[in-house]
Amino acid sequence: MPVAIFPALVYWWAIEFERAEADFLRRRAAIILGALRRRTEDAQPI
Amino acid sequence: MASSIIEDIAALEEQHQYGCLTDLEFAAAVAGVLPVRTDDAAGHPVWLTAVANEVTQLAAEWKREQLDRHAIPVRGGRILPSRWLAAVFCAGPVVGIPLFAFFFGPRSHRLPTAFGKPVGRRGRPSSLSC
Repeated sequence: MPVAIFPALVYWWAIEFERAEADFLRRRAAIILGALRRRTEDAQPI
Repeated sequence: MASSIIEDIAALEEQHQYGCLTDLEFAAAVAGVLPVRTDDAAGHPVWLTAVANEVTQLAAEWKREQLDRHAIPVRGGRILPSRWLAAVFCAGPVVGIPLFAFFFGPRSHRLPTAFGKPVGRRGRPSSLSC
């Protein structure tokens, strides 16, 4: 039983970690892209 | 210092505009260019300092979350889970059990029995077969 359960548990844990990391990267990208977009809009007012 | 960072970001923005970098790659490259130390932020424009602080705060939160929530506690520290680790967990017993049988299986008939003497493969005492 442990031979099957431990790898499955670690795999599930790794998937959760990858999801959280992707979420972090998305949030960081949103912050950076938003800041750069705001700067561009401020520099070129319509 | 500040101007070189801004030039780097402008170069990355140009690559992003031409489609050489995806949004995530572009953001990662900008995060790599952003200053890490706060004492370097003196000559920076406000927007650059603000975004650097925000990114630093988010990265610190992520590091803390990694340690508190995602790391697997093992003796002497913590390790982050990965698919490779799961594969090693899976392959360990799969490889280890046949290896154990390969090395120790041939000698298993020499283990002492309930009657005290080891027994050979055909039921003869192993002392006679030697």
